[in-house]
Amino acid sequence: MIVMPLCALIPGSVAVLLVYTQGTRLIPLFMFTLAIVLGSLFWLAPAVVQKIHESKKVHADERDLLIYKNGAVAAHVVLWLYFAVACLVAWWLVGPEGMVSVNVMPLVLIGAVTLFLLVEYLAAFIQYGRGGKDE
Amino acid sequence: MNDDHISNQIRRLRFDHGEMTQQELADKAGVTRQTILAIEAGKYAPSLPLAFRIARAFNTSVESVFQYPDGEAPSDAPAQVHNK
Repeated sequence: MIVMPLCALIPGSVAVLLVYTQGTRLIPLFMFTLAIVLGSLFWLAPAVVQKIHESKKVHADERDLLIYKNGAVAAHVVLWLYFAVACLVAWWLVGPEGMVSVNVMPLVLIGAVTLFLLVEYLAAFIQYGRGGKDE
Repeated sequence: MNDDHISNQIRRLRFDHGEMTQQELADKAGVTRQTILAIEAGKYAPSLPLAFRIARAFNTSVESVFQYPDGEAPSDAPAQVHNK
């Protein structure tokens, strides 16, 4: 199960190192590394799906779906607020006649994805915490 | 503001049915044990199909498991359910 991600990660790490030694700038290098890591983890997906199907136990039900839905709604609200704040901060920092580097855009995007996942998981965590205590 | 509370008798029914565990009830109703725990604790109101499945697991009616406040209140203090 772990062989396939390793097979992708090891040459991926070498590729990142090669790109780094060629003097690539930090942000493209970071994006490339992120793509390599995500691409490696993708190979775990079939094994995870197979594991879930093998077990006959119920893993998610209507309450889980409701929690995920509420989490996604909360994350979307925060995401739009984040974009609004990002735009306003950029305007406030550089002024109406100023310009923003294109390097800021992937950073804003990475921030948005991180914030979305963080809020989604935090909302799920809080809702599961309200589910009652074990005895 | 909606102030509907649904009480339930799941805990009592579990013990009346040979001290059925939450996991056993969850398996019969097709949900996770955490959901049974949340329903029993009054933190989550189940959907109508799930309410029927829980009642079926006890071989009884939905009204015997879940009570709406305007109906006849049970003698022992049941859990209060309020979904948000």
